[in-house]
Amino acid sequence: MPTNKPWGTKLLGTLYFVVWSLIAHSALANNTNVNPDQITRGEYLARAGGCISCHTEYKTLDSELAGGVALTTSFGTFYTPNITPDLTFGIGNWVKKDFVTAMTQGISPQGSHYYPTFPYTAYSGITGNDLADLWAYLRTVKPSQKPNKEHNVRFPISIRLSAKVWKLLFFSPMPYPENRGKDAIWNRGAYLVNALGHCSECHTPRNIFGALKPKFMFSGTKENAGLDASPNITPDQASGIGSWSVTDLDWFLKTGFLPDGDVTGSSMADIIEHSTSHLTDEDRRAMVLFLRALRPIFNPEKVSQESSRDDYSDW
Amino acid sequence: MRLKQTICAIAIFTVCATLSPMNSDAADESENIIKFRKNVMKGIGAHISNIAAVVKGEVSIMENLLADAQAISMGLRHVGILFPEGTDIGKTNALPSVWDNPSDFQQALSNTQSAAQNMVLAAESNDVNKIGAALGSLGKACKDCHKDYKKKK
Repeated sequence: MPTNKPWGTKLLGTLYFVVWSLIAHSALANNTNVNPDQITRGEYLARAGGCISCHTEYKTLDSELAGGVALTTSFGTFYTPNITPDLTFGIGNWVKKDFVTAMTQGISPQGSHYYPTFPYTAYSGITGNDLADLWAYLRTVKPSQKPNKEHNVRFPISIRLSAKVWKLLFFSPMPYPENRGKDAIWNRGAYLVNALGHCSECHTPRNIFGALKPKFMFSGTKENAGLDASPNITPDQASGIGSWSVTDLDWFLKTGFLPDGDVTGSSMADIIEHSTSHLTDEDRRAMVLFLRALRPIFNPEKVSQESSRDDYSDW
Repeated sequence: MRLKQTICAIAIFTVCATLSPMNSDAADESENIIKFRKNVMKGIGAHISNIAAVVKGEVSIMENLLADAQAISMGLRHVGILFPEGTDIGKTNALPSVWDNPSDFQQALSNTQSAAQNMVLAAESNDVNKIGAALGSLGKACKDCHKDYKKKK
């Protein structure tokens, strides 16, 4: 039922709204009116999503999320950017919409296309609520004045437009679909592994354009970003981790200990230290159960590597 | 003149012939030290798996975990003397940084030895929570060293 309020009340209402907006806006900028639970959840998600491990150079102090970590690929070397809220060097002048567009579509606020080394291919599956929590957390990080490093990539990749072409060919943003034929734990595991954890980015062989080969998901590759070969993490007995128990894999993601008592020193050690060891027992177990339920894929490349392990791979 | 050259040649040949078996012995020993080193590392790994099996709850027998903890600690003492010069070449994945930054390497090793000593204390207490915590710290120390001084697979 419409009411006919006097002009004064309307004006007061408008004034109230304007003042409220201003206060709310500045409060948001100062991070004072964000729910602390949301920030805690956001930090947890930033660990689960590997944001912290890839955007932090741990060898220098005060570098949390300030970027500069090199990612060596067959196309050249990419450097992760500063994602702290610094206005000049970080993403301090972004608004939430910019963040969501970057994460789910791989497009910067200026409209340029990110290279797929930023795993928006996976992140496009992150839920709206989780993106809001991540954003709330990122606003609270200490701003860093660390300048971004230019990527050092070869022609024609050096032309930014190549990223757009790549996306036309290999990327379609979509929310992560729930599989109703599977239980809640499987679905949670799938979400953690595929959307947040983006495990397949390192554990899947790529075609000549650098796109994942869908038939060989999680089967490992020697041609990996960085220097390490990544193992086959499907439950294949001969070339994967079929001989590992659920507890072995859970324990590895929690501590870095391999079933034979060795400790990984590979780039996975960073993922374990800064990401998977921080997850709740329930979430880690959901990831493990999802990985155990994958279709086993035989990868001959890894067999020859495993068989030489006793001779060359030890100290 | 000709005689002098001949004598000289014979002398050089003799010296080389005498020295070369020594050289190959040294090379053999380096290879053998590398094998020895791998066995020590594998042994440490085996004892860690045993402790891990208890911490993970896969095995409930924990009366004698002190034996495993002590073996790890003793094994790590061995590690300190198993990287002499010359054992950087051969079937090893140890990185040149072991010999390039010996003091950093010894520091990383010493951190691991302290973590192993804490594991001995935890094992003496027979408290599975303490043992689990000590195992976590030990794993971190192992990882720090493997990361900087062992070639990635």
